Amino acid sequence: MSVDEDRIRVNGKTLPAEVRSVYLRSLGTSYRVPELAKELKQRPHGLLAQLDECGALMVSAVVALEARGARLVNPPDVNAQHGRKPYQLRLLRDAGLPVPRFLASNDPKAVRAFVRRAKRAVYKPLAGGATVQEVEASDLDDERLAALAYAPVLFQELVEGTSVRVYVVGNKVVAAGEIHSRELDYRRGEDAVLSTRLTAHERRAAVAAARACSMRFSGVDLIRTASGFVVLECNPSPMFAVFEEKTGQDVAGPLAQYLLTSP
Amino acid sequence: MKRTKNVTKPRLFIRELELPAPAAKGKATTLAVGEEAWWKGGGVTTLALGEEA
Repeated sequence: MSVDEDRIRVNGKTLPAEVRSVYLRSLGTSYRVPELAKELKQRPHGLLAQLDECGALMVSAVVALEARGARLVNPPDVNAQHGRKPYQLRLLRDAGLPVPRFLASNDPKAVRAFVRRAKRAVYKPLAGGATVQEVEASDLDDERLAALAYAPVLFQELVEGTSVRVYVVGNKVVAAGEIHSRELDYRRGEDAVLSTRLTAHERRAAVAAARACSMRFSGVDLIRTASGFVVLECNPSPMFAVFEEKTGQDVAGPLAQYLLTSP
Repeated sequence: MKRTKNVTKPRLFIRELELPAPAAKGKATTLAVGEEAWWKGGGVTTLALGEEA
C-alpha cells in the first residue's frame, strides 16, 4: 500500500477518486494474537513499532478518503470507542440513556466504595480483550487491588436480565436478537441466539445510542430487566454473519444498501 | 533491615489480559465468513480493495 499527496495505491492499483463509502472491519493487527507471541518475546519494541507504523499508514489512507468525501463506516476515531469504554459510557449517559453505574479506576479505595454501593458488581477491561467477571469478596483484598497500580479496570453495577443485541444501520434498527447463556458473559458460552421483537422504547434507545456514539453501523448491546432495560455498549464494528445464520435476519443487506447510498 | 531479593512479577487485576487473544479461526476472506461465534471475528479482514467480494 502507498499513500502520496495525490493517490492511494493498494496491491498495485490506484483507488478511484470516486470512492463514496468504506466499510472498515478493523485496521491493523493486535500484538496479542497468538501468531505474534514468539516475535513479541524476541523483539518487543520492534514489533510494537512495526504494528504502530502499519496502523498509521492504513488509518491515514482511510482518513484521506474521508477527507475526499467518502463515508466511513465507521471512522477510525469512532471505531476507537471500543477501546475507550468509560468515554462511551459517558456519551450514552449524557444522551439520557439508561446505563449501569460505572467506575473506571486504579484507586483501591474508590473501587471498594463503588462495589459497596453497587452491592453486586462486575469488572471488565477498559480497552477490551477479556470477558466480564463478577466481583467476588476476595477481589477486594489488598493484594488483589494492588494490581490496579499496573492497569486500571472498569467496574460496573451488575444488571441481571437477558442480553439483547440490536443492529442499527444509519438511523434504523435492522435486526435484533436475544442471547441466552448461563454465563455472565455470553462469550464464554451461549445457549441460543433468538430473534426478538423490540419494544418501541428499546428501538428508540438503540437508535439514540448509536447516534450518541456517532456510529453509522452499530451492534448495540442491551440487557432486558424486570423493569425495563439498560444500554451496555455500542460496538462500532460488530460481527453479524453467524447472527444472520442463527436468527434468519438480514444485516448485510441493509448495510450494503447504506454503503451504496450517496452521503 | 535485611533487604529482600524476592522480586515479584507484576500481575494485572484482569489476569485474562495476560494471555494471548484467542486464536482467530477461519481464513481471511472478503466477507465475514469462517466465524467461530457470531460476536467474534475469525480471520476477517477489511474488504480487499479492488477485489470482488
